[in-house]
Amino acid sequence: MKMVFKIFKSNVRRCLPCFMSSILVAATLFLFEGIKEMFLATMSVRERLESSLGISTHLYIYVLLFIGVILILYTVNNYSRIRLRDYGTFLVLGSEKGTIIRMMLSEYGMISAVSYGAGCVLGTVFLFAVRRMIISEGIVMELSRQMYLQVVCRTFLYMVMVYAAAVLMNVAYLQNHSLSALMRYDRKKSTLPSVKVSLIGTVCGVICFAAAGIILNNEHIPPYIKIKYGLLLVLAGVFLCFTFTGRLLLYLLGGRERWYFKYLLRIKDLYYRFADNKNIMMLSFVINFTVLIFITNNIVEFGCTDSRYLWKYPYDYVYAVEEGKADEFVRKFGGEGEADISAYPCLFLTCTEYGEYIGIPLSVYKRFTGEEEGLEPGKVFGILQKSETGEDAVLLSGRVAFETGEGIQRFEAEKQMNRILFCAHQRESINVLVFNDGDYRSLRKTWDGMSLITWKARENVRTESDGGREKEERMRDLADSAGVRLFYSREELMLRDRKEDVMALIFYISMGIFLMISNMAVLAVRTWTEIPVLTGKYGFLKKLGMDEGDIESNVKGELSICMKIPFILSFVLGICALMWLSGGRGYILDMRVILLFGAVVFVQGCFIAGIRNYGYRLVRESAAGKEENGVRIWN
Amino acid sequence: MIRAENIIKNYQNTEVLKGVDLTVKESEFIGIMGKSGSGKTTLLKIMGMIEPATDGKIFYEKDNMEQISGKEAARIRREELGFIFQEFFLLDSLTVLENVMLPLFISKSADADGKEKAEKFIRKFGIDGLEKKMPDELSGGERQRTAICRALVNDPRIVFADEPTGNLDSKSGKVVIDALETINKEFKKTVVMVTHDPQMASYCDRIILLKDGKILGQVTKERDRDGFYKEILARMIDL
Repeated sequence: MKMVFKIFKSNVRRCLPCFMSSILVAATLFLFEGIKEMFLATMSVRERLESSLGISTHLYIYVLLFIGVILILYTVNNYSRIRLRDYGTFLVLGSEKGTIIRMMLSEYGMISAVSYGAGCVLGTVFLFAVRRMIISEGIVMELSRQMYLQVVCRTFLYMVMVYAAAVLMNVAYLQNHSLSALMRYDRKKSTLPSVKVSLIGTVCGVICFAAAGIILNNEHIPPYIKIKYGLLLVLAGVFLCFTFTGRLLLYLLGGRERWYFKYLLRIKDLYYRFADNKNIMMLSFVINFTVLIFITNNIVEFGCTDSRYLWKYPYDYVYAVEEGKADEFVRKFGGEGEADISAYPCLFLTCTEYGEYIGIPLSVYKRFTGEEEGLEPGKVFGILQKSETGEDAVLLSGRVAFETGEGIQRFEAEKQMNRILFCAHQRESINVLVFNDGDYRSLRKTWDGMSLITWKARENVRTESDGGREKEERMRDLADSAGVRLFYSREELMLRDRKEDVMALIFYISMGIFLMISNMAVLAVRTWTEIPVLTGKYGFLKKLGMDEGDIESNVKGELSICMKIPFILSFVLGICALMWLSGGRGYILDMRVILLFGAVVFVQGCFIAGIRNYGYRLVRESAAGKEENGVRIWN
Repeated sequence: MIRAENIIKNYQNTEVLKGVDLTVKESEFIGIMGKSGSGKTTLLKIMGMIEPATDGKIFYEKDNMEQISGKEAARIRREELGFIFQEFFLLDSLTVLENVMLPLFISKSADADGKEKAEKFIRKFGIDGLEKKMPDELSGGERQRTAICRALVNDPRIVFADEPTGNLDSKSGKVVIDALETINKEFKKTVVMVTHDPQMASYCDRIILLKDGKILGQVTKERDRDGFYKEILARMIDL
């Protein structure tokens, strides 16, 4: 144990990337788990199941967990690459496999325990900072001691799962390979595909791109389906081209001898470096692209919410009371000329199959919208009060049946639309059916008549009487005492929406930061592992008499290839995606999106330039050090 | 002492060893020579139980290595065998003294006596004064001598050396081969060495010549080193 601790202590520098990524993952998981816990505590069980954000928060944690697993596995794998060789040496010198497995467990245990502790501390600081931010938005978020302990325990569970996966992978490797293979582990290189396979792969990649282009440009496919399948095909195309096109180009280049020999050294070196790092480049590209397009757009969308909900709530309060009590209700709540109050007849209908609707006659629909439209008997308008641009429909089958005085009557959807008549509600999706006045009367015989009462403060009294939580609570109490069937308050709904948006905003910011740091960590680790190889090459080229300037550009080119290719590719495709989004696709390209896009590109560019120069300095210093010690560096 | 019977080793579709028979006697200094890819390192690794054979048997004394447990194999590697590699395989995180004492840590016998023993070998092979240095700070020859001390500290009966001078210049190579000769002559250890350098091979008592995974023949030292060297050179034409 003492020996293990000593070896581990002297290996701390090597485990730094491993430590950093583990702390990052632990802190992010802790933070997000904490936010999730606080957020879900404000919801009822039904809301958790029905709310899209309630479901999403569970999904988000798995996305973070997945990225965390990849990040930790990658850094642990790099650390293991060095350690497996040491374990191989131990085995050759007579250690038993059980001893080595115990050694691994204690080593990874130490890494995970320290990272988990540091991650929890960091996560706690972030969590309380975020909580304060949410509370400043007027949203109540409780964090009890029990909830905090739950977060601590869950993060521990996640970290154990991640590390168990890493340890198991190494144990499996140890069990399945000979001692000699273990000692050669750090020399493992990827194999190059054959020209034939590369040709097929490239053609498949191009087909994927073409199919994605066709899907994305098809006007008849709904946007959600378009993005889902289009994106999948683009990703498949990028993966195939990443893997196979380079090999094909190298083969084709072989035919152009003059060109080939002039740039032989550079091309071959870069290609082999590319082939060794293609999976990392692919990962880096996906992360970059996600951050540049998906995350930046969402941060801007959810971050700037001034007055954005007002269109969804045209009235301050909406009530539904029994038809007979409507007049009394209006008298009671009318105030003294402070508000415009209107009452509209309606029915609360339950479909014979499934689903609840608010039914209104065509005349009421005209009062709400001010539009003159006709509707034949037996037809309905299906209105989903959710958003104005969504593609969801109230009647998926296009028809609906209700019990009437003359038995079950079927109605066909004349048209279906997304629009706001009196109030939108994200969670409950208020479904409204507009009937021909004759049909409405027929339904009225079976279903109890209700009155929909809208309450809107007059402009001139708004500032005095529009009034915060107190007024809202008073109105709610009054509504409860009057036994209303439905009560919507604009302020309450806007606060709920804001709460969901703030949650989504925090998620996207955390996700963006997490992805960017993960990407940088993976690339930095990769560059770090390339240093010994490039040190050898530096010494070799120097011995051959190459100019220092040429060596510098050569080594820097190799160092930065796995950072530059995904960066440039994601930048170019990101600009294309932004242009596509703004080119008549229903999105307005916001200046804030462009600024955020530019900021992310700038940070990444600086990082690449920095790591490139620092890496070269390390190579030079390392080569100088080896020369001083008399080691053959070009071995 | 060690007997290899009809050893066959395949890597994927390539047959590296095609039925090799070899016997190594007590206190013998034996060299295995051959061109690159002839299977000499593979043979050494199989005899040293680092790599399993595809087919054939290895007998250590009278024990069939195929029939012993993993624990027993680990014990034999720990107590009876010592290894020296071309790439040294020193632990970068340990000092020279700690690297030399590593087998003692593994066999749980690292105490004051063990330390004294390690220091004795360190002095013997001329790396005293470097005990507290890290492997990164040493020259190739010094690293290899550290590896030699590590191979001897557990008092093994056989030392396997895989191209021990392959990564060294001629001066350091000479120091290392002298050390191996000392191991054999002074400490009476059996040494099995893989090399492609006839100069280094001339230190051995017997040379096994491998070609394309088969034993082509052997050369035994019957005269002085110069004569033996010439004889090896002559036989190398066949390789």
